[in-house]
Amino acid sequence: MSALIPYPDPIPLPAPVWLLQAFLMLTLFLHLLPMSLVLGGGTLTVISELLARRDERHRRLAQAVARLLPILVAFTITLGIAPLLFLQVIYGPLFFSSSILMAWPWLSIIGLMLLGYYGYYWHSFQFERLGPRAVWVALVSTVLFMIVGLLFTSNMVLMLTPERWEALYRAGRSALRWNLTEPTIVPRFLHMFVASVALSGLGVALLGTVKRKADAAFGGWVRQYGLRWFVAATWVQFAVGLWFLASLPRSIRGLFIGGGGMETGLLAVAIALALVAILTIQRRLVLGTAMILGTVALMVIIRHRLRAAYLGSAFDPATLSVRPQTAMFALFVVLLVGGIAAIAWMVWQLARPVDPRTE
Amino acid sequence: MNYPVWEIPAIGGGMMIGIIAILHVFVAHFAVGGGLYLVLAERKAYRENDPAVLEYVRGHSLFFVLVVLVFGAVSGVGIWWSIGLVSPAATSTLLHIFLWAWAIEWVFFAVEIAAAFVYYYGWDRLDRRTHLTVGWIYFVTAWLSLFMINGILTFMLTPGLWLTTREFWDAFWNPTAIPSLIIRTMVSIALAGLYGLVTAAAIPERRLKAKMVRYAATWLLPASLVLPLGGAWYISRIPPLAREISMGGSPAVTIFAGLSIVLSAILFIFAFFGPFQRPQHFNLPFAFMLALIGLSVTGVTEWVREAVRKPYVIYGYMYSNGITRREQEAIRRDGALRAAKWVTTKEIRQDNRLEAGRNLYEIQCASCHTIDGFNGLQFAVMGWREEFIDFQLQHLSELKGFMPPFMGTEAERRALAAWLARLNPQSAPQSPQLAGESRRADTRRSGSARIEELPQFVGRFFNPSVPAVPQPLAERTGLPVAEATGGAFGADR
Repeated sequence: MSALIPYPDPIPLPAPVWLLQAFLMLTLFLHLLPMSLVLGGGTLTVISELLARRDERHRRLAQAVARLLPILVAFTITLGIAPLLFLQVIYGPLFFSSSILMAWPWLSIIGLMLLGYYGYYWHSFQFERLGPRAVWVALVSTVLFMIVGLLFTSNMVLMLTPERWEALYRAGRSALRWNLTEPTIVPRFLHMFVASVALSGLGVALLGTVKRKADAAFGGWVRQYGLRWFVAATWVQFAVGLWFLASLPRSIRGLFIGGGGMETGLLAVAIALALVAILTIQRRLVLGTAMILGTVALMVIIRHRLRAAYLGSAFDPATLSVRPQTAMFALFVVLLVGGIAAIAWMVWQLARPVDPRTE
Repeated sequence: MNYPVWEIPAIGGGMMIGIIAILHVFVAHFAVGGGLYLVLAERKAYRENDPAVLEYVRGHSLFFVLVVLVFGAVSGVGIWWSIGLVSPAATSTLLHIFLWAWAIEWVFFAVEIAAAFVYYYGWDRLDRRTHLTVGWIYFVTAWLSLFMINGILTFMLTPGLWLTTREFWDAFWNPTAIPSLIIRTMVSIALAGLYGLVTAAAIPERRLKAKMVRYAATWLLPASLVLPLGGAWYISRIPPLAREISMGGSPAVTIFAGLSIVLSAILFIFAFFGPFQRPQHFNLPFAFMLALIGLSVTGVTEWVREAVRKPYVIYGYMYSNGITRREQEAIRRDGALRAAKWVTTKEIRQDNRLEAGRNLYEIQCASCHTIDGFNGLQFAVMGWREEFIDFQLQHLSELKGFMPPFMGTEAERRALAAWLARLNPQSAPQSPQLAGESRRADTRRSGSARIEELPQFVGRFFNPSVPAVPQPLAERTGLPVAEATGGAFGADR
């Protein structure tokens, strides 16, 4: 099974594996938030635009979300670079191999993102002019980003299942392969997608809270509407999550239902947090949001444990050689803090009310 | 050979990366210089108290966001995607050496993207000073991200002291890092002028148009003065073989290197006598033509920069096919198939020789060559007999300085030669009878021979590793033609 896994790079890793994995998980968590808002937000916009003829409030909501989508895509892409960087340096032999096996579909992500991104810009800037046709633009862009998500899911699974590689490689040299027959891919994608809708519902609710200041009636409605999506999607998630769990290979599944103390414990806490959030979020929106962010963070750790369980001893990053570049790492941390400060300052400048165009 | 191979039909992996990279470079350099253009033009508007200029800068910033933030960012990710698919070993090596440099570049990139958004959405919400500050933050972080990538990119051609010390700073501050940084900075400023000319040419109002066209045209000036010096400095620091390839060693590379200089000169001359001297007569088609020349210069220059790095992907460390020099000896001793992971044959037997040859093509040739497309081997070996191909394989790196040597056992080399010889059935006759048939077939085809040779000619022209005419090889090896070619050329006489 592991005979095809390429040898690790002869050049040692520039930092200890635990540090790289910590940054992988941290940056993945940050990426997942705007990513979810793009996928789920696009979906909710399409639905609101379909309902706009019956209810003017839906048109207003769709327009407000449409304005945010291009910025959210920029955040998603930017925050997606870092986790992929750490993933490639730790798991390169797995990731490069699986990517090459599905090279054409994998490369198509670039084109799909470009089209989807321009679509959201068009949708945002020309919302009024497009009128009822706007929904088609939003729909196409959202579907394109969904395909990107599905491609990511399938590659992330393919890199963990080297036993499937040989058959795929022999199947043809065109690299048009797309590993969709693995039983866990569809529920794994849906798990992410439903989470995206839930998080976007939460995002809409927060947007409503902001809008309440200018227009109490509309803001209140947006808040309630968003919360309904959050609660509904999270209930659905219990079913989808169960399906995903059931689709995992037996030995791995066992870890999450009692077999592994750490895995089972983390999963139980994550589910409990989500349950409490559903029940209390009507009254305590900020607290509920914090709990859901906690669930997402735990899920990132659980996902990491799942990866380790898949790989077993076939590929153990702990065995890789390390030669730390401490000065460069320190420089990175300093610049990261400075960069975050610069971004925070700029966003604060944009957000604070100022008499426009005066000295 | 450690990784699976993605064979891209028709264009090949290098071209695939090239197409994405050239488009990205054209936009990414604009992303840097254009930031400076925005802030300086905005400041100019305030100083001259000219609301019309300000309105133009505002419009230009929308164009900037749509080109830079979307296409620039996504195509940059696209380069990363494509190098990982085409050259996974080299990508992995670069990641291991430069992980933190890339992480730092990512921080600059993130600030750059955020600043661009705040700048664009802040026209009505920020006061002048803050708005300009955000513009400066954009430009400085964009240039710093160029600074980081430049260190990584130049390392590939001139790894310098890193080859012995393996120290990060030796890799980053490699011999061509500074001249290349100067060149790229100048190109950024020039491209900002070129894009500025496009938006300025679209201004309907005559006075403003003339003013902004002339302003944008002056942005080409620094590059026209500094680029020749920076270029000469850069060339003086590249490896001797790379210099030789670009100055006569390979006809195609030499032509492209010449084109880079000639097109740049044409661009600056046109820009001087056109928009700079007569801004009022400047129009959009002219602007697009200049931009197109700019894109061509970017294309040929980046292509030459990639081509001169052969036979390496990381000079002196890793060959274009992903095999490191350190692995070379073991492969020669124990065989390439045994060392490779993703091959269907491990030992060569009589019944799997051709399959083994195909495997060897995949792991040693496919990173630069296709079978019958761009840089196609079918064209390269056309008319060559198996023995001559085998002779060529024995002396690849000497006969063609820009190709890695064949690495493997003698049996493996012969298997590859056998497979290559069968790419063109008629030119590798198995028996006298077959030879006669193929000769007759050749005569019958002779009427259309010219047209059929066209792809071969095109393939050879764009292919730096295949000589336009095979005969000079004999001169270089000092062997009589018949001996050097194994008599292959006598077959059709």
